[in-house]
Amino acid sequence: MADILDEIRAMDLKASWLNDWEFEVIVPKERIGSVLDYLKSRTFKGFMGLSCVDWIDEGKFELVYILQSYDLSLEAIVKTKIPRHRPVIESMNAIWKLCEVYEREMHEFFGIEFVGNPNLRPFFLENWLDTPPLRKDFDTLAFSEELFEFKEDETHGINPPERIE
Amino acid sequence: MELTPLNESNDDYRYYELFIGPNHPGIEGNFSYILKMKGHTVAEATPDPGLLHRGFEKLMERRLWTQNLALIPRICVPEPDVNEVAYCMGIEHMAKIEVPKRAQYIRVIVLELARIASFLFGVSGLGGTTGHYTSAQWLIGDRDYILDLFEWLTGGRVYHIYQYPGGVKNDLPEGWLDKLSDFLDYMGKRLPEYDKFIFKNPIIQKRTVGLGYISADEAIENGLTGPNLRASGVIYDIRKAQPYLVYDELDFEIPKTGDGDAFSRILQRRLELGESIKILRQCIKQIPQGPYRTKVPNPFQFRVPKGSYYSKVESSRGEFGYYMVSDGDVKPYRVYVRGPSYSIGLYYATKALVGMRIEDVPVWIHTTDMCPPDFDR
Amino acid sequence: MSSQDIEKKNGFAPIVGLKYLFKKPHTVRYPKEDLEVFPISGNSPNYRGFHTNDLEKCIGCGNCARVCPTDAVTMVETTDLKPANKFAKTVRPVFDYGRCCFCAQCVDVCPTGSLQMSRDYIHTFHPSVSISVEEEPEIVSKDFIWRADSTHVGNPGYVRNEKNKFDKVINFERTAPKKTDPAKRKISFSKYVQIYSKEEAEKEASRCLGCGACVEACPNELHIPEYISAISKGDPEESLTWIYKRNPLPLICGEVCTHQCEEACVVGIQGEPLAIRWLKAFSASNVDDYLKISNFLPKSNGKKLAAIGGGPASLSFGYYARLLGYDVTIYEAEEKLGGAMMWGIPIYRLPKDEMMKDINAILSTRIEVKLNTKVGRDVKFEDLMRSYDAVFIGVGNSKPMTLRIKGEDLENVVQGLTFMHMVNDGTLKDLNGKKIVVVGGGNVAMDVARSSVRLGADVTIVYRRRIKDMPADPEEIEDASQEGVKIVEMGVPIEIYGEKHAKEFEYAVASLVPDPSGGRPRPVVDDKSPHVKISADYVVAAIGQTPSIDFIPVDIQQKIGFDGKSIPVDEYGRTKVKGLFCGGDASNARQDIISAIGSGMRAAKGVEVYLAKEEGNV
Repeated sequence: MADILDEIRAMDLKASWLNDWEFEVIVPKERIGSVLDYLKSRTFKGFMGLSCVDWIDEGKFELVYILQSYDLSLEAIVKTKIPRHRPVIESMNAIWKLCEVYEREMHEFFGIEFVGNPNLRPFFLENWLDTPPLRKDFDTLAFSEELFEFKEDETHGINPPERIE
Repeated sequence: MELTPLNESNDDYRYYELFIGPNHPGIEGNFSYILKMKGHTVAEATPDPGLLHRGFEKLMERRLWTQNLALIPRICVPEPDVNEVAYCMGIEHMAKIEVPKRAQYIRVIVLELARIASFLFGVSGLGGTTGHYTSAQWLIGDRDYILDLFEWLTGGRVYHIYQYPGGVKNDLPEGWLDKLSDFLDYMGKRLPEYDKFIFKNPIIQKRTVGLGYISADEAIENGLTGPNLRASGVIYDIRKAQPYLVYDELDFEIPKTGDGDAFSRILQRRLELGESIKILRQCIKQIPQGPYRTKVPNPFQFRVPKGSYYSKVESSRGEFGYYMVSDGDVKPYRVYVRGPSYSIGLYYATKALVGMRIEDVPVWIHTTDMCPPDFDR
Repeated sequence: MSSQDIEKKNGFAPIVGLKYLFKKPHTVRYPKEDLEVFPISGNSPNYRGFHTNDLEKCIGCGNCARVCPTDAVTMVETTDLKPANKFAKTVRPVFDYGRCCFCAQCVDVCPTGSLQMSRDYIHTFHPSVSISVEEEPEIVSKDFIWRADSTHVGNPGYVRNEKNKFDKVINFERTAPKKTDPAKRKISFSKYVQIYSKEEAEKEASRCLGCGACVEACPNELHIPEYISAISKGDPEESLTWIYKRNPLPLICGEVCTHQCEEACVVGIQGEPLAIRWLKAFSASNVDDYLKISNFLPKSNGKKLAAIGGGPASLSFGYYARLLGYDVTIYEAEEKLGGAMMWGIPIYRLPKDEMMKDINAILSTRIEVKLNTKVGRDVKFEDLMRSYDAVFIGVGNSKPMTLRIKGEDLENVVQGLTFMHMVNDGTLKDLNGKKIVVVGGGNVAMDVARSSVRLGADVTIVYRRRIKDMPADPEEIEDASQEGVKIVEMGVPIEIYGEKHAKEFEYAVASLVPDPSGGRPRPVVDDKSPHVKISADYVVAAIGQTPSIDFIPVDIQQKIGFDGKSIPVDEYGRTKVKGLFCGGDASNARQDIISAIGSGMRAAKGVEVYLAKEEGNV
């Protein structure tokens, strides 16, 4: 089991165990396609999910690919960072067809461009013109205050106790 | 006047559009497939999510770690406990909190009960789509006995909000395990009746046998998990392969059906239900005395150390995963929810439904036990 | 079973189905019958239904409102209630059942246990026919809003009471600081309470609910939740920044503050309050250089202020006035700064190097200090008034109150503060085998008693009321008795016998009469009261002090309205004389360090207001 990690490290990548059956690999964005392809060939055939983390202070988006190997009973968390101001990355739908929907969701919620994905139409949201909503700089409160009409007497004429300053 | 002969490209009337949902007895929650139909046959299926999207992932970033426990059960309505357990397990891993043995057993009991409840709920829905309404009433009625148990244990019927980082909120009430034991006896008597009535029923078999065949490779390639995957012959269960909680101390098997069609998918669930009962009986026998919660700081000061973790639980629908990122604050930095129905509902359905007859679509949806709230989160 | 396994056709099957006709249905005909699955009829004994709130017990801390994930709880001002204790607020939770998700997190976090949930869950609403469609939503939404009270208390559901309070998410047990063993500590003056380690401090800080009940109890309203939260985060520097906003003597207060805050701490209602004081000591002792974190120093604005006395009030006044840009000069009669902190507090509670760490940090903001300069003796008060823009009096209480009994003028009958001064400056070195009687029940009495124990004496404290009525910290009393101090309750001093030196001390055992006006019970001595005589080499009267302001000319003394006990001031520390400010024990109702710091800070603001007015800026 441990040799899969050695193999990955031999490819000059950072990899570490998170627990007995879960490890993470940190990959530069140029190599993400080849690494995922390699992992797929190494029995990591199940594509479990694609997530994105908005590291706004760092100015990066972190894409997280979660892969599953049914033969080895292992979970691989593959992470790569892309710049926030120009969030472009190649699409993985050549490796897993179903990546298409995951990428479509991340495109919608984070505004990431997946080059090679033919289907990046709106998905969950309708007529969305604002900042992609799962980005950290999207303020949900300000958005709903602008969009919805609030009753003036929202607090029922009562204010919560204010702490003494 | 010149008439253009009709052909595939210019005949708008050859095809028509049909909405399955957002309010349809075949679908749990407000979700729809827009089907392009040719006669009785589906030519194209487009999922239309978003009607149920509540932005949980964003909402969680604005709330305290423990406040979210009131929020996340709502991600999957028929089986809310997997959310709570997966979320708490993730926190516990990141914050290195030891969970007492008793709490782990209680969690297994809750999870397996939820699995049974989810099965009963799912198959009762199948009754609705096949016109077999008695099974719907029977199964929903029996599910209520589980809800009673949950109500006694947690104070809530559907959303239990019972798990807490470090364990569970309160101990098992006195006499609860006896009641659970009674219920298992009842279920044991009930199962042959289900078999006779549902699984050996010619109507159900006619409608499901051979429908929506998925091969093992196809199932893996399309990201299917749980009973759907196992019904295609890939024997993989997180409870066995990567045992969490105390599943490694419990003796149970993964049943094998392996035909890959709609019937074997519901049969797989039915057989796993038997295993759940076996697990529960062992839990009743083996559950140790002792503390049921490791004290963690109160909600306002509960900080999870920096890090990230993908925590997953085998739910009745497959792998329910939480990818959580903490920046060391009292609120999560990012929580990503991997619902088990995501790949099947949003991706695989667009392929599988094509060529299917319209009356089979709800049956197919129900035999995959798809739950739109878990991807339309 | 497999897909080929189909039930055989059977002619009797419909008859078999008949048995289901006689089965009981799953449903119950409510309200005629109810569920009988639980130990009690109806819904679960643990049901999360409508809230109940014991309005008398609730203290309005607002933790329920803060923990609510759906913002369904609002704290509303009430007028019809009397508060549960002196720290309680008059706000009470109001629930919006249009938003509530019945998760019970509010119950889990209620520190008093007043908020519970009941098994009742049915709510009906019948709008009047005359209501128009437009009005209806408004009326319906109002109907959902309800102040939780005792309406449903007869049908308890999800309850977290005294019995199962440990199911709550609050941690009730305090992380006690490590203390030296009583047998070891009673022979040495070295500090016996160890400051928290990082782990202990973070664990203790993580018990804080952050409601801020302590803030209102603190005489100077420190930013307590903020600084505790910073400790829990693992950042003592940030914590100290918060403390410094309202307290420039963090380590001193961390060691010897009277911690009113801990009395108000809501966790203390059902468990042990947070050790707020020790947490402050942790922050202060873990930051080496205060000034790095203290506010930046503004340029001098050319105005000069004088502070009389070198105690906490003057130091606090000096620091905050310096932050406002004034040049401050402190006049101290003794050879060292610190006042009562220097001479009154024994070093096993407050080591002098810790004290000097705080004071030096203040002095490094370029405050001028004139030691050994007694106003009235070395420099005239009138001169100060003339040459400075404003003068602050922070002289504290130096005139001890007397016992007013026979034999008080004997030798070896001393006042508490005088005794402590003797201990601290080293004139009193050995009391081995001596018998000491200490009269009083305050912190000074404890200091005297415990210092004497450390000098080898056999100590008896005589107090007029019961131990629980003592104004001293309960912790101090406990530690003192651990060290072998005997405490005589309800002992009223009668007479001290002796020829030249005190030899014997006589007290009467009083009976307690409740005070009709609600105060502490009064000790009453009558003819039947037994009299007890004990031998005494020293009698120390530690029953309080009054300010001595002889250095002020009598006409000014009259002008400011000094009544012999305290100097009247307004909220900014202003006396009735223009440009003369006062703070510390001389003018405060509570006579402790934190009140003195508070009065000094307020006076610094007062100076700003006064001088702005003088220049016509306001």
